[in-house]
Amino acid sequence: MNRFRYIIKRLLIAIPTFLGITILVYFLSSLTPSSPLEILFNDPMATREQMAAMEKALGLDQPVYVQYLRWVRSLLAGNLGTSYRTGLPVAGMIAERIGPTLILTGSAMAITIVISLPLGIMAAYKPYSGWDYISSGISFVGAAMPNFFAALVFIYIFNVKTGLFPSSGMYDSSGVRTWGMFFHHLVLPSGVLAIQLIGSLIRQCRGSMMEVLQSDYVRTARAKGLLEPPVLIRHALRNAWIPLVSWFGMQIPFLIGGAVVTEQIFGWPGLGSLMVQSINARDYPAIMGITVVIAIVVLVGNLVVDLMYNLLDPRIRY
Amino acid sequence: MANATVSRNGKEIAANSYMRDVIRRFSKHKLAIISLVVLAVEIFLVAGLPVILKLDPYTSDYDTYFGAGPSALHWLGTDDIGRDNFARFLYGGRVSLQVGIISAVISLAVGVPLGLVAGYYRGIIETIIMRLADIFMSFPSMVLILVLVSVLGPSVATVTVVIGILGWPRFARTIYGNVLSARESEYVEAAKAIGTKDGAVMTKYILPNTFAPVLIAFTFRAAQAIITESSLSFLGMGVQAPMASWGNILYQAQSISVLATRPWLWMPPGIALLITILCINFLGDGIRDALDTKMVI
Repeated sequence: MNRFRYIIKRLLIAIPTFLGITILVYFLSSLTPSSPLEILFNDPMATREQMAAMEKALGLDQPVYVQYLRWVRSLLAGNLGTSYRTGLPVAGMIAERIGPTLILTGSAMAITIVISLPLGIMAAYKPYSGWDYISSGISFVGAAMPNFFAALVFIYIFNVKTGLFPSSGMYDSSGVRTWGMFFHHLVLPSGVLAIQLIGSLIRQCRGSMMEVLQSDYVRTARAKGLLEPPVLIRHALRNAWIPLVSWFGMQIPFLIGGAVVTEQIFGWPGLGSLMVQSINARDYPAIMGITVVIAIVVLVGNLVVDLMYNLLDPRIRY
Repeated sequence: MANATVSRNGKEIAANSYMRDVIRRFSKHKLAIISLVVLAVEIFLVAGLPVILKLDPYTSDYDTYFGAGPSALHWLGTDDIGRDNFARFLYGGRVSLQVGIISAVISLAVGVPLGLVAGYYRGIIETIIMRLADIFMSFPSMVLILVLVSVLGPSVATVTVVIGILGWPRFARTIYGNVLSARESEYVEAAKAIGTKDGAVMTKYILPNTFAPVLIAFTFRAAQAIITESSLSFLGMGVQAPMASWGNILYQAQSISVLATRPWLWMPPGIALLITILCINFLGDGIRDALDTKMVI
C-alpha cells in the first residue's frame, strides 16, 4: 500500500516537471524570427489574404500563451496535431519511429552492461592489477570518445574496409525484411551508442564494488569459508547494484541525446532522426510531439529507477 | 580553515602552505601532469603555429587539384575546394577550444549565482531555481540545444551562448549543496552577527569555500561543451563554413567517399578531439585529488 501511495506521489511531482519541459520547448520554438507560414507557403503567388486566412486557421495570430494553452487542451484530448512538413498526424509519425529508438537505446544499454560489469568487477576485485589498468584505459578512452567520431571510425573499419556490417538504415534495399538482417544493421549504431556509457559504467561499477568489498558482511562471508564467486555475486554485487541503478536513471537523457546523433549518422529511422528532420523544417507540431514523448520516456524511466531502488534495497522505506 | 589567524602575515603563511600542499598532491598525479603538458602544447599549436607557418585556412590553392592527398606543401592535403586541410585543422582547433572554454565560463556565470541564492535564501526561491534545474537536467540537453540553435540561426556566437546557458544546472547544483552546509557554519553565523550584508556574506565568506568543487565542475563542463559543439557542427547545425571547427571538418566525412578515401582529412580532428577530452578529464581528476584536503598521502 505504501509503495502504491509513493507511486502516486511521484506521478504528481512529475506533472509540473512535464509541463515545465513542454512550456520551455514551446516558448523557445516560438522565438523563431521566421514564421512557419513561410515554410508552409512556398508558393510565391500566395496573396496576403490567403496567408492571413491560413494564419488564422492555424491559430498563429493568437498570443503565444493562448497557442500553448490550446496545444495543451488538444494534448489532453490525445491529439498531437498535424505535421507542417508531411501533413500527417504527428502521433502516427511518432508511433512509427518510437520502436526503432527504443530498440536502439535498449540494445546499447544491454551491450554496456554485458561489457562493463565484468570489467568493473574484475578491476575492483584485483585493484592495480593488469586487469584494472586495461579496464581503466577502456573506461577513460570510452568516456572521452565523441560518439560521432566513434561512428565514423566504426563505419570505416567495419563497413568500408572489411564490409562486415552495414552502415545505414534498418534493412537493406532488397525489400526482404528478416530479423537477421535487422540485427545485422543494429550492430554498429548500438555499439557506437554504447561506447560512452561503457566508459562511464566501468568506473561506477569499480567504485561501488570496491566500497562493498571492504564491508563487514563480505569479510564475514569469506570468513565462514564461502567460495569467491558466491561472495562476489551473491553478497557483493547485490549491494553494489544500488548506486548503479541511480546511474541508469541519470544516463537516460544522455542516451536519448546520443541517439539523436547516432540515428542521424546511421540513417536509423527513429525519433532522433525525426527530431533533426523536424527541426530543420521548423515543423513545430512534430517538434512538440517528440518533446512530449521524450519527456514521458525520461519521467517513466526515472520512476522505474526509483522503484527498482526499493526492490534492491529493503532499507529504503517510503 | 582552522588556521585562519588574526595577523595578516600568519594568514599568508597558512594560505601558502595550503597551496603548496595542493601543488604537491597535484604533481603526484602523473596523468594530470602529462595532460597539462599536452594541453599546453596543443594550445600553442592551434594558437601559435598558424601564425608562425603563415597558414591560410580560407583561400583555395588552384595549383594543386582539389581534394588532394598529403604533400610537402599541404601536409594533410586539400579539401573539396582546394583549401589547406592542415590550416583548417589548426584553425578548427582554435574554434573548438574557444567555444568549449567560453561556454563553460557562461555556464559558470549563470549557474553559480543561481545556486548561491537558492542555497542561501532557501524557501520559494530555492524551490523555483532547483526545480528548474531538475527540469533542465532531466531533459536531453542535446534536443533543447538543437531547437534553440535552429531558432536563433547557427553561428559560433549562438552555439557558444546556447551551450553556455544550458550548462547552468550542474554548476547551480554543485554550489547549492556546498552553500547548504556552509550557511550553517560558525563563520557565516559570526559574519551575520557583526551585521555583514547578505551579498557580502555570500561573496566573501561562502563563495571562496566553494572554489574547489566549482573548478572541478568547470573542467568537466568544458570537456562536455567541446563534445556538444563538435556534435552540433557535425550535424551541420553548429559552426558554419567557411569557418572551421573540428566538428565541421568531420561533417565532410559524412560523405562515404571522403570517409573511405581521405582518412587524413577526418582522422586528425577526431583524434585531436579525443585527446583533448581525455586530457581535460585527467586534469579534472588531478585537480579533484589535489584539492581534496581530507585525502592523506
